[in-house]
Order: sequence, then C-alpha cells, then structure tokens
Amino acid sequence: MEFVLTFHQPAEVFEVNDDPVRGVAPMQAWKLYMEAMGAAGVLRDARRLEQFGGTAVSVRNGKRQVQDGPFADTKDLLGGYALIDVDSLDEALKWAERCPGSAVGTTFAWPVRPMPAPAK
Amino acid sequence: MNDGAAAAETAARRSYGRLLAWLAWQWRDVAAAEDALAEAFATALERWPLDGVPQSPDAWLLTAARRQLLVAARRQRLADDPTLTVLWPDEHEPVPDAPALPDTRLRLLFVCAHPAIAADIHSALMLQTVLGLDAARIASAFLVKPETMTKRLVRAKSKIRAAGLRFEEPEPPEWPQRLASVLEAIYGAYTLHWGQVDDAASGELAAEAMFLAELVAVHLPDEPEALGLVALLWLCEARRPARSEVFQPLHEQDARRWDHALMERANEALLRAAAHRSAGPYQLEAAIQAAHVQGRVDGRVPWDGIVRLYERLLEMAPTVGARIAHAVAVAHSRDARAGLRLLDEIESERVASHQPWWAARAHLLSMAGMHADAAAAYGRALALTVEPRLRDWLAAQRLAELAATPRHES
Repeated sequence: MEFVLTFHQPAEVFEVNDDPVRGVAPMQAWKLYMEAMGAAGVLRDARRLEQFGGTAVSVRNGKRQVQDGPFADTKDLLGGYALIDVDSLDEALKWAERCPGSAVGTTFAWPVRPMPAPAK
Repeated sequence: MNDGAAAAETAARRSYGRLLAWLAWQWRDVAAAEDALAEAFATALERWPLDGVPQSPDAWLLTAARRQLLVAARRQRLADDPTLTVLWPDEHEPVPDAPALPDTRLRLLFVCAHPAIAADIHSALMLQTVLGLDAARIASAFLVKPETMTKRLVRAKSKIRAAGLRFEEPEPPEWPQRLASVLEAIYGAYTLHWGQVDDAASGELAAEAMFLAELVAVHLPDEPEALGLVALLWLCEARRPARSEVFQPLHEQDARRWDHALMERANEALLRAAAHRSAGPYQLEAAIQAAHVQGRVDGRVPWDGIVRLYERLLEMAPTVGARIAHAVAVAHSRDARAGLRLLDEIESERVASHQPWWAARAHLLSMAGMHADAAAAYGRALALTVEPRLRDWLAAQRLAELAATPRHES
C-alpha cells in the first residue's frame, strides 16, 4: 500500500532547521530518518518543499485566481513529503511516528489512490 | 464532584471488570453486556446524586444492567431465545450482594485471548472489557486510528457472539496454550510503551496490565508461569522510580531509588514459582531481571549465569528480543565479536527496522573498538526511536563514538 507522508511544522522549526549551527542536529535526524526508511525498503520518493514558496491557483467563473503562500489555517507549514510503500496503515503510522517532525509538528499519512491516467 | 457522582466513578473504576465479566458470562455477549453496563453507569450518575448512594452500589448497577439487557432483548424480539432464561427470573428476585458475586474475570480473560480471535487484538480486548479503558485511549497506546481500533474491537466481540465462544476455563489439553495466550496479551499491554515509563499515561497502562497479571496469579496460584509474569512485571516496575528526565541503562541507574519492597515481593513470587520445578519463559525472564538487579546491587553482573538463563529461554521461546539480549550477554560474558556473530545470525528482514537490534549492535561494535561502525549503528537506532529521552541518550552515544573514531576512519 502506498502512502504519502506530509510533514507539517511550525515556522520557528524551519527557522531552526535552516540555521547553519542550530540546524545541524535536526537535519542529521532527518537524514537518519530517511536512511532508515531507505534501508527498510519502504521509501519510494521524498522531497523537501519550500515552505513559504507555494503558490495557489484556482479558477472561479472562468477567472484565474492566484495567491501566494503560506496558506495553512494553522500555524504549521508544509515542508516536505515522502512517498512510502508499506504493508498496512499501521506500518505507515509507525513511520510517521518516527519522523523527527512529529515531535515538533504533525505528520499526516495519506493513502495513495490512482489518478485518472492519460490515454495512450 | 458530589458524593453520588464520586461514588459512581469509584464503583466504575473498582467494579467495572467484575460486573462486565459476570454479565458477559451470563449473557455470552460482551458487546451487549458493555452497552447495558454503560447504560447502568449513566443512570447511576443521574440518580445517585439525587437518591443517595445505594447500600451496595455493585448490586444496584448489576440490577440496572440486567434490566437494560432484558429491555434491549425484548426490543430485538429475542424473547424466545433460550439464553434469556438465564436472566429472566432475576428481574423479580433480589440481586446477590456484591461480595457474593462470583469473579468471572478470569473467564473473560480466557475469552479475550481465545485462539479464534486475532492475536493482535487480545491485549486491547482485555483492556477494554476487563478494565473499561475506552477505545480512543487504547488506539493511541497501540498507535492506530481510533476508528480502526473501535472496528477491530467490535469485530472481535461479534466473533465472540457469533462463534459462541465458551466463557469457561479451558479444558486440560488446551490449557497451557490458552494460558500462554492470556499471559502474552497481558505482557504485551505492559510493554507497549515501556520506553515511555515516565509518561503518566503509559504508567497508567502499566498499572492496568499489572492488575491483570495479579488477577490471573491470584486465581491460578498453582501456575508457575502466572507467578513468573507477576514477578517479571514487578521487577520492571520496581525500577520505575529511578527513571528520570534522562534515560539511563539499568547498570547506570541509582539503585537506591528502586522500590526494594516490590523487588522483594517479586523475588518471593519467583521462588514460589520455582518450587513447582517447571520453568517457563516468564520465570526465566524474571530470573534474568533479578540477576541484573542483584548485579547492580553487588556491583558485579553475573553475566555467565545470565547467558545460561538466556540459553534456556531460547530453547523455549526463541524470540528476536531474547536472541538480541542473549547476544549482548554473550558479548559481556565472553567477547564482543562472539556477540556480534549472534546478532548477525538473526534474519536481517526481521531486524532492519528494529531499534533494539541496532542499539545492541552499536553497543557491541563499540566494545569491539569499531567506533565508526558503532556510530552508524547508533544513528540508525536513533532514527527508529520515538521516545525523546532514549533519543537523547542514543544521540549522545553516537557523538561519543564519532569522537572515539580515529580521523582516518571517519
């Protein structure tokens, strides 16, 4: 079963993580976490997202609307995701629990469904 | 909170499992008994503050719950169901006093750990039915979604009803296996959040599990393994006061802060178990714990003896946990490389994401002077650990190994 884990953390956490000195330990924890998922054979893909850089596009009544982020209703920002392939939701939650971001923010586990595929 | 509400709360905590076990045994339907009992507690919370607390709160609750079961059964037009006759006449008879109420909780435990019910739900089912923990709390302890846990519990209870599982103690031929399942589920509940022992919630869960273990041991005084489990849990629990904001391995803990009275009780239980001359995994685990504890007190850990205890344990129950601990004991008793070889013999797919294996490996690599490898192994253990104090400790160990690594290696 595929899941996307999304990593949501408060803005202060990103500040710490991006700091060349204070960020060393947390970034090391993220690196070890990704390595552990890789070694377990569950990691398919993972990317960091520019937490302030997102742009929202919507079309209403034929009019394009563009809005700059951050968009979160809460104070947490989306800073990355990982696509994992595991046997069960329980296992996905276990990896979400181990995420360094879960101790300071929230990790969501989303079951992946197929998108309508383009005709070939 | 007024007296009535307080009395209802106390009765709920003290008697829930006893009342539910009795009702479920008579009704042979855990889910229906739970609903009826919940209804009875709700009524008590309304009535007792107004009418005063009844003479025997348990008897009152039992009557109310039975009435509720009858009402529910009538509503479902099951009046001609033969199981109803068990309860039917009681409506007009005086209810037995609470002290005379037979304790059928052990039977309920046997039903909860029945082989027809998926093993991974045994612990949760016991916590809910015998102790009345709510599904959300159990779900969070088992790290599953509340609705998932609710569904699993409901499924297990329908299975009990549908399969007509017997609410009796098992027959002799199946007895050892059935008892082993009960003990395993209780131990599972205790160890669920062992790493988080200072967390009040996990301490509470540990207390609930110990209550169940003691319940079994009291009802089955001639079962050495039931005593062994109690001894094991008490020995673990006795070390709880020494835990602090900082993680410390057993051999660094301040032994003066251990609960020595509880350890004494554990040792007595272990001796009583040993008198039966029928060793089992829980007795051996408890004996290993006792040896470690004694070693801390004496200042010398009897590693050779611990290795022998693990060898006997592995003959009976070659679990991954026991194999890892055995490897560590061998490393201390003989040499680190012998321990590392034992760790490497464990199938890698079983330990690739198993934190204790990586932590043990790191420890033995460090003993063998392979500091760069030890640092890497501590790093992996760190990534697989959730508990903050243990994380801090592993991170510190990792840094120490990095510092001990000669420059040309790092």
